[in-house]
Amino acid sequence: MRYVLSLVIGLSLHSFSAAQDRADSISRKVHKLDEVVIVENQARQKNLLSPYTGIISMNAEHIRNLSSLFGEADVLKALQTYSGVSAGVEGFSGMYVRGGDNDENLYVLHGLPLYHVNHLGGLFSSFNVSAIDKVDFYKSGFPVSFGGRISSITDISLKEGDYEKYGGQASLGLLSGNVFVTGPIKKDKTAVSVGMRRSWLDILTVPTLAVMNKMKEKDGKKEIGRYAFTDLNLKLDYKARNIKGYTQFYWGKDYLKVGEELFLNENLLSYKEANITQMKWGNRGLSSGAVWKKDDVQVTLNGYYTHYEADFGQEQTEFSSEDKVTSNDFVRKRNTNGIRDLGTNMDVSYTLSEHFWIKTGIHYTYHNYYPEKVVIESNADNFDPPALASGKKVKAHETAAYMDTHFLLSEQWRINGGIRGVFYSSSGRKHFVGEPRLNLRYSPGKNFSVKAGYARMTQFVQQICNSYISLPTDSWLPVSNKWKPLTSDQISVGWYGNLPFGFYFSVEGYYKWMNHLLEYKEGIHSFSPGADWSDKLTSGRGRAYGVDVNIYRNAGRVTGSIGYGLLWNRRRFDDLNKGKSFPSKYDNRHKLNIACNYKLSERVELNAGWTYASGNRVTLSLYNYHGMEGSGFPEDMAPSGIIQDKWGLDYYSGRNNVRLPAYHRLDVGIDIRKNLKKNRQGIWNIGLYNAYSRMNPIAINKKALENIHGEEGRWSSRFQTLGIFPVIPSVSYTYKF
Amino acid sequence: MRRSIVHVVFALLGCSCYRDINLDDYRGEASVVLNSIVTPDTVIMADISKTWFFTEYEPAEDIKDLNVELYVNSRWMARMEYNGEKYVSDIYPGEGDTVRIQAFIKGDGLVVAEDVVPALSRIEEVRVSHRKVPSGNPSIEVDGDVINKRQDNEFVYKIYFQDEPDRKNYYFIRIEECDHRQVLGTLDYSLDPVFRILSEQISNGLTVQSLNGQLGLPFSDQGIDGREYALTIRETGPDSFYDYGDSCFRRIRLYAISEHYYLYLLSLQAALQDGSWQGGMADIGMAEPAAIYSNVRGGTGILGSQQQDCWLYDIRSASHRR
Repeated sequence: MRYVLSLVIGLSLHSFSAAQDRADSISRKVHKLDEVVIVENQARQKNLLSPYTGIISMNAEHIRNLSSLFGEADVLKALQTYSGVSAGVEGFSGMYVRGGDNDENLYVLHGLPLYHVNHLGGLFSSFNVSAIDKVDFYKSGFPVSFGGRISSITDISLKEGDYEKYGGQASLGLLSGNVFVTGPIKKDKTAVSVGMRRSWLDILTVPTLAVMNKMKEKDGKKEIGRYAFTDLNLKLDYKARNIKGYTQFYWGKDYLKVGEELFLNENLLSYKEANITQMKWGNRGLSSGAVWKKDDVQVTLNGYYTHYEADFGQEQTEFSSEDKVTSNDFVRKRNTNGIRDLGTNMDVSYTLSEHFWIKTGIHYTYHNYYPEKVVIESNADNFDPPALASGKKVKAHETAAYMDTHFLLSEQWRINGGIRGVFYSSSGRKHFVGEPRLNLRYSPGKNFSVKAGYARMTQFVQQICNSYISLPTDSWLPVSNKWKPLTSDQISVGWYGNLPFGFYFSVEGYYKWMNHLLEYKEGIHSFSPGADWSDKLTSGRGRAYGVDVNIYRNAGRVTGSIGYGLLWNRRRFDDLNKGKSFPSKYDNRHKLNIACNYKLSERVELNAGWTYASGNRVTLSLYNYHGMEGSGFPEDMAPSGIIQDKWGLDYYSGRNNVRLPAYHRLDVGIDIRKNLKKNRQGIWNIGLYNAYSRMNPIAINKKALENIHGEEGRWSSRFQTLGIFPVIPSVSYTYKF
Repeated sequence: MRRSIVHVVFALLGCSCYRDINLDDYRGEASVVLNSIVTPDTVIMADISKTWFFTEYEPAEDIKDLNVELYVNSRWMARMEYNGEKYVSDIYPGEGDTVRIQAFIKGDGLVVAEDVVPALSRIEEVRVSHRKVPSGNPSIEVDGDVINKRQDNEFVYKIYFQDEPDRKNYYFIRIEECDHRQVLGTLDYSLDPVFRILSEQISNGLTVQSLNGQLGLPFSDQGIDGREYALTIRETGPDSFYDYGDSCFRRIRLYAISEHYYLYLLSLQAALQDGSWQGGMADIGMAEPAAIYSNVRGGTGILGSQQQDCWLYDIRSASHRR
């Protein structure tokens, strides 16, 4: 059973110590229940007995039970519901864990690290829930076998192929459809799983735009717009006597094209002008691994290749033909950024006794970064592209070795201590960092425990983002000669326990220091196309602290969770905000999340979720002031090159100076299952996202209107919030076979 | 284009909605605004006012009766007096002078700004070439059954000046009409690399095909340091712009400007004419905005300085005079 469970959890195989063996033995007693119950019981026992603080484990069923946008179950949106995790901007899969930034989360898809995990600018994550078995999420108490990001680790295990028979599921939602099939290639030896998902928004938008454009044809105008995403998971599992292995391939791609065409066709004259913007981004990768296990020794080997690339293209074309004389001019600009990694890991765990367990390993990654490559082409006369900082590839070697030890001193005391040493070399510069981790658990009784943990994490690459949503065009920048690696130190203390009626809880406090954070310099300092990347950035530090309280119930007909998070999150940069400390964009002071599932019958399940969070912070100009023109200096004396309006210039008193109104929404859904012939099942999922249609603000704009109501000299200037998601009904159908 | 891209994305995402919000709770103390442009052509003067809360369209009036002091090269020169419009002195600054203006504001403390008057950069020569080109406007004129091809006038200005070596120099160039009946055609700066660098700086967009600026544009000596350089600017317009009168003069002003003033102008261009995706996101409140540059400590605004050289050029007869 232990063996089976460890496979369910995945091949990355984290801390399974003697104490967890006990958890396994508890699970063993209920092994006749279905797998879901086993995993949920594990979550309950892990909460109590694991020495780690800040762990969340979810299975695919749990993710599906959380109502989500457009009815699409989503891993990141599920994680966003937990306390200590800020969601960023509504609808976008940002994840800001305990005061961290969006680039500080490590995503490992069954041994394969991924860099950008969003479809459609973050509306959906890149993970196809149909192919997922389980998700382990760490926001503190990080196992020493993981490193490279400072705020969270999301370790996703894919489903193991079915060695016995073919089966799977297919589903169709409002925006996408997906299919998952698994079955044996060689019975009991080799199994294959294939999961594929594709959006079908373009199937609607392309004909709609075609009709609209036909109607506008007489105006000589054509709108262009298309979006599609695809992801594919392909996995082979194989097993021999003491060895289990897998090979998986992941491919995810997004394509967005928007623009317009202006044209004229009359007699001998033909003219066409087009402005088109295209974005393409995605990850692809291959990983393979094997686990050899005999008695108390287990060896895990893993190798991978991961490639992330984002491409942003702008194109202007102009075609004219007159009296058989034609001209065809174009200008194109293409920005590309990407990363290619090649890595290998070896981990060995050895259980010396029931009271002492050890794990060690060595990981190596060869990084190939290209932060920004800019190409401009044109056939215009005298075309001479400006000098741009472009195309500088950065190669880096990252080697990590770690040692992790677990001591079960008594029934009450358990200690886990380890150290991870990382050697990183790039562009002739070498960094060596040590990352100590320590976790302690004390259980005064069989239903309660107290834990404390400390973890140091280091990160050698940062994604620099100036917008409030994570865009694929935001470049990943490795540490340079000028900047030190990003580090964090986090201490956390918590109280955990089991309650009657299947409830269990955790209360966890934390304090996190972040050093060497990078941001764009303010204002004009970032305007220098010829400048090196490092000259556009500035380094600073962050502090975050707070409390996460969670109560769960995952037994019985009513299951769910209540999570409350209290957070303070601040930054200080010498070159930003005049050197003064300022709140982080995601300084969401309070967050409350209530999720509930009610199993009405074997066929019908109801679910509801309510989320409340203090608003994000934005930098907003509240005041205006006179420019030179408004101050009465004539244009020939004080040239400005612009026409200044009557509202003057925007004055910014401080960074992130305004908090958006609180965010809250209610989601409701119902699952209706119908058993079909030959043991097959059909599931209808009907849901309402944002049931009471609160237009949660994602931004504030300044709006100035002149001469309102046609009255001369009357002005109206006001602040307005922008909300983008009203109530959204959704329906999807899943067919399991 | 920038807004349309962003709005198309949001249109795909859902139906966006704007609602008024009251932000009076964030109302704090207004800041002091000090604006001044210093040039050897006139006495030093400054305008001092306050910022105003956006929802009250009551542009702040000048702050009067302040103790405003003028220093040149760290020497106290005069107390600037309010004349009903500005604080003025009787001091003319010289080239290379460091001018400092400081005002004592009750409750706000000291507001200080300082700048150095740049060296004059003279226009050495202006050459203008002319040709007829097919009109950029694809529409056609129909005279009975005859289709007349529309043509525009294209004037290409070559403005020669010497960039001083061994120091960073900043400029502003402007071409003006001298008679409003001889309308200035569309100016396109994209032929010149110094403006393409500027375009990349402020917009990061596609501006190779045309880069406009009817009121002029700032530029730096990046890429031309220490050379005699010919700025290239194209003016295009229909015959009706140039038909009136016996001559058609254009005024060409080349300003040597201080670094502070250049950064201020650059940030104005970026904030108000930014054509990038990033700028579009900032416009709808979804990205970090770029603040207007200020060299005023204790408040905001700008103390800039400039010297200008001016040429008149008859683009019809190719005659010119300084």
